[in-house]
Amino acid sequence: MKKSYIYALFGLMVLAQIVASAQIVYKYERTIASNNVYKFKTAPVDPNDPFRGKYITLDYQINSFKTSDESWDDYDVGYAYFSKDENGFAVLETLVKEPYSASKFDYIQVEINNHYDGYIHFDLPLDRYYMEESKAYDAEVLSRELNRNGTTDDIYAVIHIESNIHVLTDVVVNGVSMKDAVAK
Amino acid sequence: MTNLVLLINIQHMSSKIKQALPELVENGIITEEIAQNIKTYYQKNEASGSSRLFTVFGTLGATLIGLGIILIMAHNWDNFSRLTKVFLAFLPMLIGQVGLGYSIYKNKSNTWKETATVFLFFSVGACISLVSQIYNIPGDLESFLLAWIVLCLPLLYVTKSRSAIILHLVFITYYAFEAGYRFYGHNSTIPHTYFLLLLFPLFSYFKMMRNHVKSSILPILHWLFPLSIIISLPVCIDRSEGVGFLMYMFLFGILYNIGQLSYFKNNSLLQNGYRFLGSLGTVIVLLILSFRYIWKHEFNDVNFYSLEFCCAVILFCIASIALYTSVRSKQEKGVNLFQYVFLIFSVIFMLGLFDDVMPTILINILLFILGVMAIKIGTDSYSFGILNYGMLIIAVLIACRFFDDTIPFELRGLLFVLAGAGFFTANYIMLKKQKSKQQEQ
Repeated sequence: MKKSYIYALFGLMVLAQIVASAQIVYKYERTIASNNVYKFKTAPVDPNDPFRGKYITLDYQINSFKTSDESWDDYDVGYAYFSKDENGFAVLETLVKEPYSASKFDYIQVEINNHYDGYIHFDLPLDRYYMEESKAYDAEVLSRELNRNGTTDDIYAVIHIESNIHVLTDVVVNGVSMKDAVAK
Repeated sequence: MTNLVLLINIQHMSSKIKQALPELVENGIITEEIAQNIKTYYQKNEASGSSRLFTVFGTLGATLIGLGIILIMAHNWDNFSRLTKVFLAFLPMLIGQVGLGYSIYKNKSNTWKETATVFLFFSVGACISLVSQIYNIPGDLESFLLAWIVLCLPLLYVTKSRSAIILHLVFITYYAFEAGYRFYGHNSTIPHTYFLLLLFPLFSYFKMMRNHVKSSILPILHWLFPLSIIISLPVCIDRSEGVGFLMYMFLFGILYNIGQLSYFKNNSLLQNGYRFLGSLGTVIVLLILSFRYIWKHEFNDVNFYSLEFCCAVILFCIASIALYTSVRSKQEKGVNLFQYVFLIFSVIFMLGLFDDVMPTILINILLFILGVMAIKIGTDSYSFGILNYGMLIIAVLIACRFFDDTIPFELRGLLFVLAGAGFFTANYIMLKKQKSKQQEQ
């Protein structure tokens, strides 16, 4: 290969590697800066990713939508629209197959799990919250305890949504960030 | 690691020869001039050997550092602010890019280029993983690996790095494993991306083979390519799992016939992963299919209008071409049944769609003949390894029948005794044959 081609290919690769990661940083920083925050009630468990480390999987309370529409299939893609109640907690307004061209509500794209008993069950995609290695298991233990005491309502995820880009920034337990709640 | 051992062995051998030179000259076995020539030859070889050693150590070092960085970052440091973490995510990648750019611009040695390539490869992975960790991006491992592989694709071409080929193969296999093996849930990706990704390093691989490059990496690639495809083939299996047996049999047919090409004729079995894996894979699949249970229950889902069957047809065509080419380029006489097993199996497979007894019997006969063939090849080539491989095929075949409760105990016992006696007799005859040949010489 000619030297000039090698330089061009190398330059393109360097650019692609930087842009690929930098555009993600830009996209999510802009969303966080918008300060459009929703609180989603959730319960965490603790698995492991070989490259990205320990995280807690979030199991959201909002996971189904009542409908008489029978045309939904498993693994379909849907758009869940949310509003906020007076405390900032997310309220599911509707679930549609195609996003509206304009709406006063924000949406999150979801995958449909199944459809039975008049309910469409889905998973919110923001189900991973990465934690420091030593804290992930403690976070799971803490949420299990809260679950036993019947106080899971006290755990919620902080999600920023702006221009239909969403980013999970914190999980709060009893008003304290999960990171601090389990800090030793 | 094999490279390392090989290099150390060569250097050890050359120093021994050099030590013996003065004695040989003194006793008049070689002249002073020849001794000088031998010395110069080994000095030249030692120089290239030590540079190769440096490359191996450099590459290993970069791999360990790269993996170390990924693990350190996976810890997820709560004390750092988000922006500090972002900076730390980009830092190793930028260092890697500068290092590689410098080695290309200054046309540095191979050691430099290989080390910088490996370091950049892992630092790109570290950067993507840390960014997705910082923003809690939910994407699964499969999409993460794909992004990593694609962003590092140009590394295959910018430095013609051999480590880049190995890393690419290892990671696309990992990707295929994540994408193709459904442990839970459903498969939403197009796993055929794997085959597209497999094409990229082929150009460099063929070029190395065509130019008969004396590289210690080439034998490793002769193992990695077939291993990668064997592990990744389930990416083509969706619903019709019975066809999977057919696909694997064709794949092993392809591999064995590639291993029989004239290019590999001077390679030992250890340097010819195609032949080794093709033969072993064929025998293992046949052993699984020698049970009647499999023919009774595994082929109920065969569908001719499926992705699997389409892939099987493509594999059959490639296997036929490989067979035609290897038979044409073959020097020695006689038929090697291992090359034709995939053809025979396709007929048995068709029979298996209507009946389960006949294919079971045919597979058992085929395996027995293959065992005998391997013994014959072993005896003809004075190879204890191949001879015992043939004996092993027959022994395992008999062992598998141990579980067949339709065969009476005394008959099964007799078969075992005969197989054991066969092992001793065949090895004894072979040993005698080899001794008499040595005496003749």
